[in-house]
Amino acid sequence: MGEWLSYGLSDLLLFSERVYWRLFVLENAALWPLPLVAPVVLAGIGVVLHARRPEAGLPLLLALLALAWLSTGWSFVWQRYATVNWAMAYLAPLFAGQAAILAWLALSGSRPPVAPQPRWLGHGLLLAGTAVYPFLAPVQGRMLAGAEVAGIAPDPTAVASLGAAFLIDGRGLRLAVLFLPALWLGQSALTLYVLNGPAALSPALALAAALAGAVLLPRR
Amino acid sequence: MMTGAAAICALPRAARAQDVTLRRIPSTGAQVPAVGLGSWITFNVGNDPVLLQDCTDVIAAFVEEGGGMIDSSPMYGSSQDTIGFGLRRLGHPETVFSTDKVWTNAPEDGPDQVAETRSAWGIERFDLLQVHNLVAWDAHLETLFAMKAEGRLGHVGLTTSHGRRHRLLERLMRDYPVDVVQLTYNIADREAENRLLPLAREKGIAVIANRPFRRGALPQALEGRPLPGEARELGVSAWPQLLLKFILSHPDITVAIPATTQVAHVRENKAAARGPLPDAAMRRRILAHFASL
Repeated sequence: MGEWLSYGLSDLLLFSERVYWRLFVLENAALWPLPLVAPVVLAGIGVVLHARRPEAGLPLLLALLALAWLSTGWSFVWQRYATVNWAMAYLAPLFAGQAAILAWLALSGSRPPVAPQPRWLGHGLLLAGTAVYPFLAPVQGRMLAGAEVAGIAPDPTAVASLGAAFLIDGRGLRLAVLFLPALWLGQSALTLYVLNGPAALSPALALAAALAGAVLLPRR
Repeated sequence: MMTGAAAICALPRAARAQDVTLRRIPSTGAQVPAVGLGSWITFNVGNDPVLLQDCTDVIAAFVEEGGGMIDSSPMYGSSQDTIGFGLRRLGHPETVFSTDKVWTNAPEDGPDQVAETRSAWGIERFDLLQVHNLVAWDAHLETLFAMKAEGRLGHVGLTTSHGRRHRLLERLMRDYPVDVVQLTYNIADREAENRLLPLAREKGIAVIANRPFRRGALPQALEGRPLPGEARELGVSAWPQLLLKFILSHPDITVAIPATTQVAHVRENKAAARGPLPDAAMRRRILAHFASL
């Protein structure tokens, strides 16, 4: 145990920053035009429909997110990321777990309770994951072809899921939806911190916002 | 792949003529070029076709420059597959000294892992297999010694890195007839000089120096800093070459295995083994200069 503690974070990373960002280029190319469609659908359902008809919009959003976790876990984490990071083979099943939680909430007979106003944190995180995240690539000096897109890449999918969690009423249900996305974003922030310090800011900020919301927003 | 004591015979005449710093593995007499090629991080590129081709170019340049030890491990993600991809593309050059490791806590999994590693490289026999970080060392050593006795392996080795587990490594070097040990040695990490390197000399064990650049951190930290006066005498104009020459000039270091993703760096690293190396007095002055920075 003592020996493991003597390793730095950088000693535990097996791949380079270049390899990491190339994963998104390859994934987007392989799934094209899904990377264009998925975030638009998620943002449209999530914000527009939910804002107008929250009771109907929330189950649809959760069902789409369940699909997103399933496909991201299988296609990106298991088939692509795990080829350069064997630890991902152990995390990929968690994506199926998160998909199951979301699907259960979306498809179970009783509709998930919609959080009362204000829902700005939920909508904000949802938009951050779907509409803002893809443009981090050019901001960080990478090609748009390697953009991280909700429904395809895990980080924006997790950020959008944090948003969905804050659209659900009830502390227990909210935490159930929050837990795995928060865990993922935590490891992602650490990974990006080692690979390229500033890039860690996005998952770290989303995680911080969600944790603050979980603590500060009214509980029921 | 080179095999045992016949290794030098497998080297093309041109390589023998160019590389004046072939090093000998005492236990078998096999000779290998002083600068090898590591694969930690640099060759872990998954199935990215662009990066696989880049790595193949690096291996091709390494072979052009005389070849030698290419080192990997099951721990290094897809690095073994990348090496296999490159070697197949290059027609399995004879000047590659195939070097890999066993890395599993489950002793019974060792033979299967070796088989998988062989398959990833696309070869029948390794020139050197090592017990990675001394994990489950007793069972894996037994497996590797048996393979060597049956002629299915050229050399048996043990590895550590980052200066860890030196006490256990020392004990194993005393108790087992290993051919090679791999440890971290560079201008900033010289703990091995105290006991392990003298012991290696005494026992006739070859030494591979890993992390020669501390994964790039040393050249990065030294960039822009003045080279010592000795650099001119050694025909060196950049820190990485001087750092390598420093390592290779230690009389008990056999091979250094810098890893890189760039063809130009492979050629620079290989060039470091040619030409003069610092003598003991120069080494002291280089160390003093390094300490003053």
